[in-house]
Amino acid sequence: MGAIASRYRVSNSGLTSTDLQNIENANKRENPGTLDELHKKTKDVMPVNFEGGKLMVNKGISNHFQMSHTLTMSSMQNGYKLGATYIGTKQLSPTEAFPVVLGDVDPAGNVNFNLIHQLTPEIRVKGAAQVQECKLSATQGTLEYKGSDYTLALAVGKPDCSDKSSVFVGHYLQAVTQRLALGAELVYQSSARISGGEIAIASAAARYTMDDSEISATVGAASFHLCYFKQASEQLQVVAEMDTSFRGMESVGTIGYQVTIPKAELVFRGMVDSNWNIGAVLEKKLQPLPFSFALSGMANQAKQQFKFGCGLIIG
Amino acid sequence: MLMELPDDIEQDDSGMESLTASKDDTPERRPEDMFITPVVGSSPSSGTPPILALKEFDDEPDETLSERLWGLTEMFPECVRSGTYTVTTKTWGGVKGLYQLSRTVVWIIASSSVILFAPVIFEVERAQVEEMQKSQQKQVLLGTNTAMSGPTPGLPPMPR
Repeated sequence: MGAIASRYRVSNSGLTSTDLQNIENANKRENPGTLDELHKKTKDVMPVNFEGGKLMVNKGISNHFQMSHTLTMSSMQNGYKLGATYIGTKQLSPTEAFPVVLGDVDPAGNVNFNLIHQLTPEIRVKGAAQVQECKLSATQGTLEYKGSDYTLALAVGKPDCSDKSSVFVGHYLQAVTQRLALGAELVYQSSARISGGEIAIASAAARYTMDDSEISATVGAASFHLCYFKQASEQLQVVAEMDTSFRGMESVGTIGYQVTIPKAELVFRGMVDSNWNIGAVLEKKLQPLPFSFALSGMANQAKQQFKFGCGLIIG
Repeated sequence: MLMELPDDIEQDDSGMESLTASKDDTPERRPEDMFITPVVGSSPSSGTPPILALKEFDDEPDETLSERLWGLTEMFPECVRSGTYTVTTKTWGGVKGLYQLSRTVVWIIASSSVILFAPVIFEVERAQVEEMQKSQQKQVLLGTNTAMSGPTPGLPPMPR
């Protein structure tokens, strides 16, 4: 009978241009983010415990400007803070706009100032300053360059303006494959308090991403930090963290979890660690008014110390 | 009056004892015991005069029940006695320690679960109850609608 006459021409010469593009995108390495945010997923799951009462009232004055009043009532620190946030006009995406200027003032005259600006799509500049008791106490400036598959960051700071000390920090993070990112950090500090006048510490960092879990590690001469993050289900995220200090010869292991219940608008974070510490934070949005309620509890079972706190965020 | 005692029974008894002894004497007690009681802590050769204390045999009460029972234990050998003592004390100490341990463990578990698990469970239960209430309300609304429009068209036709 011979060949079957086919009305459709089958191309047998291999891959078309769209196929090539798809293959390239599949192996493409994306920007790995900054080295500061290496352990971000793990840090987000761990609860941030606080003690005492906290009330925060946010009021948006316009699209670009927002004021906030914060009352902190606790045994450690109590006081009132007035905060202002200005968000600029350069809109990169629906959620991000630059420059962002944050500031807060104390009735005693202590001022915190933060500035974040995106100069170009790759370069971001950050600045921070702190004034305490009418004197400039700490300043820090950071420059970040996000390349196609690497990130380079440089930070210069003066943590204490009273003595002649300065800190230089350099970060480099490279996406080696789609799943693996390797990086290094160099910290140089010159201060009169350090024996010898100056000290430099180098450390390495790595992060491996799997489908629903992530492992990240930071190794230095003085410390070793290992984090594991797993998305157990839609509502549950589990992390495990191990922090070892070679100088103090001690190691702390922590297990944390986060439960998100969208129906009840609840986010609950809990943690247990090897020093017999337990902590939990519950955040709930009270609809229909824009209230956010937070409860924090922490306990040290070995010393039998219990600390609780509650906070309310309005607006 | 001195009695003639048979020689083979009590040749040692001269009979002179009755001159110095009192009527309270019994064959077991010797007259020396009446006057000298050895005092703990002082040796007879130290030279200090011994404390003269009358052993009050008259007023000594009878042995109590527990003392008699304790005396019965003397029939067991030393190792059995000490073994039983060790086992009893260790068991009692073990029971007390286990109770303390269980108290601590239950306290730690209870306080930790109040901080770590209780709020989530409460909130999940509340959300479920709210959902059930809402669905019940919906049912009730739909039910009354059908109830109102149900029976009226269903009236049986009047018999003619």
